[in-house]
Amino acid sequence: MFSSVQAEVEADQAQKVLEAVKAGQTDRFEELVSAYQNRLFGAMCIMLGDRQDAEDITQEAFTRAFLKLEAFQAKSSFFTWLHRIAFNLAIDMRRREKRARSVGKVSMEVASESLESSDSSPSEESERNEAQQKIYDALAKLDPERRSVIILRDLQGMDYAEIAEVLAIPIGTVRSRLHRARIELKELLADYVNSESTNALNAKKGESRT
Amino acid sequence: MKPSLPDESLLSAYLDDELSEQERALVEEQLKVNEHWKQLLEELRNIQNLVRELPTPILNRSLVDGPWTQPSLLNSAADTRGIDTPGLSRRSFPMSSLAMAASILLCVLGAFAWMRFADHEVKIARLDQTANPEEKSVEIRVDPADEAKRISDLSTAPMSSAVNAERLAEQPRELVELRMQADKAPGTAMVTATAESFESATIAEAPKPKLKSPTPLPATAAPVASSDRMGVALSATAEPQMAQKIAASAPSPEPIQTLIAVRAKPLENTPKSDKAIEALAKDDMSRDEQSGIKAPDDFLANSAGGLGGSLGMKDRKMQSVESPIQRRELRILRSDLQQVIEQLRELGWVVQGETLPVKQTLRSLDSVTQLSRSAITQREDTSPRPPTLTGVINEPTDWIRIVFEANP
Repeated sequence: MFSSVQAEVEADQAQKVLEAVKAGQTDRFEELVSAYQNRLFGAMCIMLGDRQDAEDITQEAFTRAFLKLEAFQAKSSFFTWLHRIAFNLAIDMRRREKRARSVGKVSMEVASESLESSDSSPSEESERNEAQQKIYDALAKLDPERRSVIILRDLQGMDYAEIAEVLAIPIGTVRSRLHRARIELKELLADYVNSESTNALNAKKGESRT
Repeated sequence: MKPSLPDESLLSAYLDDELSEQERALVEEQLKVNEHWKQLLEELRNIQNLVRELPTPILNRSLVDGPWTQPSLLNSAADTRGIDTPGLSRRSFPMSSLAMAASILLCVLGAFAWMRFADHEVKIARLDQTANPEEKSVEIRVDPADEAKRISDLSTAPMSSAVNAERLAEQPRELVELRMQADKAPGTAMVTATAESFESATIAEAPKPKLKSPTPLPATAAPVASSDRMGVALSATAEPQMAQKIAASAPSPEPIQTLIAVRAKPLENTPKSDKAIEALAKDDMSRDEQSGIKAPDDFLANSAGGLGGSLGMKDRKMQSVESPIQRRELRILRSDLQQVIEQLRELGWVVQGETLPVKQTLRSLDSVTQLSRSAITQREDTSPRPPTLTGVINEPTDWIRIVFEANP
């Protein structure tokens, strides 16, 4: 998750780049792509549960953002606006496909592909992977609306106002939906939510990173 | 009695620091006396941490190669579909072979417009055969006041063309007719093409390596054989930005001249036949053999309706010299890729490897991009070699770009 300070700095930089792009330096849009592609892709991976779909949507979101840049108003951040495009595309994609997806299984592949190698032992790594898989599974079981708010808040670090803008819902709805999503996750991850096991899991994560 | 959930939802907001001062005070007061709230807050915090600690998937490739490398796309955004509403899909665009043909022609027309009519307005009209053509026109205006920008931004034309091709594709195929018309004002031209003629449109390219001299690059138009349709050879240019990229990677770029011959239905009172265009092609070739290319001025001047003038032959020399390009791109609908490839093969183009059935997905194209240049070097004759289709560039919409290169 990104800090608010970091987000502000990024937003300022993004705004400058956007002005340059609008002024004709269109190739500078690449800077925005480079800055945000992984964060957006990560969100789409968990949202869609399919790496290829996530890549497609990420690419298309940038393309559409670029093509509609003139319509973008600086009232919101580019990052928020980009997410709005991407989430609309993602929700629309799944709605059109009308088929259930085993998000959790794919997500594990996603996670394992992306994990940096660590110095942890195989058993520790296996244990950590298992824990992460359970979290992915739990996220996959949430309905897309709840999954969206969790991703936007806890992975992308957006505040409620930004989430409301991305999903085009009132802030009060964001609050209640987020709470319900967390309650549901708590029930799905009962084994990991009590203080003892969570602390143990986090401790192992910390060990593996040092 | 208030429902418990709304009250408890304050805890999530408290965790996220999203409460007003009043709400925060209320929650903190509750936390002092309410064990259930205290425990729930801790559990919610744990949940939050678990999610936050998830590894973030990372892209295996960079997405920086996109339409933003074609500067004018920003300006043509008004012609694209909206993005603010769900329901948009890259698969929602209509696809038809007509759209492919139309896109090819319009790409050329756009390039041609830039080359030939820099100072004039170009209109591309859509009309139904059964309706009054003049009442259904869609205009693409090439702003004459923006010459410098256009020169540095040739890609305006293909994109505008693509957008309009998409519109055209929405029309019943048999009713669609393209018309490029600018009356008889100086420097204007008139070209029409029916759906059937697009279907038989041909693409030909006959590049030759450019010597290190200002001699214009020769080019050959593919003869168009048809008894009742006029062949129109249009000159296409490459994007300046691509030129820069290629120039950077190729110290001694060898320019090529691309000709795209399109069978077109003659307008009324336009007596030119296919022989005219054949003569043009032959004339072109013979002149090439003798002393490099020379624009067939008399043909251009005498063509009815300014049709010949639309070919941009006069400008071709200049474009050949000023566009040191080895590689060209053409934007087509992905659904038409197979058809285009087959047509190119018929024309002698080299397409190495088996082309795959084109599916309406992005990922299927990944394998198609493996198309590579072929060993045409085994040819013993010295005639101009056809170009090689070297790849397919994926775009996140229904459009793709095919890339072809000269075989010097």
